[in-house]
Amino acid sequence: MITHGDPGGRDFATVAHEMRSPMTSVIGYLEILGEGSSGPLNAEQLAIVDVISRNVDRAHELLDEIVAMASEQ
Amino acid sequence: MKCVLIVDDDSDVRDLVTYKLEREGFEVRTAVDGEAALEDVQERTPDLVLLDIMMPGISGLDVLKRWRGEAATARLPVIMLTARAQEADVDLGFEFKADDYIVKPFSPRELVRRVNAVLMRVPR
Repeated sequence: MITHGDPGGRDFATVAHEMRSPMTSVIGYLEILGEGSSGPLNAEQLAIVDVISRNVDRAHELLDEIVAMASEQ
Repeated sequence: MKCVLIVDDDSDVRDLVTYKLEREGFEVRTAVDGEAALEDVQERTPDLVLLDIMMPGISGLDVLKRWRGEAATARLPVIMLTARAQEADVDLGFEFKADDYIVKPFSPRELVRRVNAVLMRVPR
């Protein structure tokens, strides 16, 4: 359960920070897929990776906003 | 071949960084927590350590503090990996003489660039 300032539980800021590790794997492996170092992608696959990348970037921005909001609380 | 030790409790992050660094020609070793990292470095000192801060058990900062207090590892190149971007954490990293600081989520390309930059500064 997410709590606000409860020393016995994970607080909002901690959970927001913990989201950064899974985000690291998603962003990192997408970069590897997109640059073709794990094997070449065709145009359709590259377009799909591009859509995922744009949306992950957006999710990253939102995560930064959540972290900033949590820090202010 | 330069040897990098990756210390992170997240196996996917360890695998990601291992994959990228091995493709760049590095020898890679991994440790799942601070305790394992201390043992690994005691056995054989790597050329550089990528050290996560928030881990169960001994934190990355405490591991770094231990290394900096011992002659054999006082100058061991260490790049901290962290989920926390706050300046307080950055200050702590540099207070304990971390060589650099990378905030998650990071680009593997950028990580390789930073690893090479730190290694180039090391007089060996």
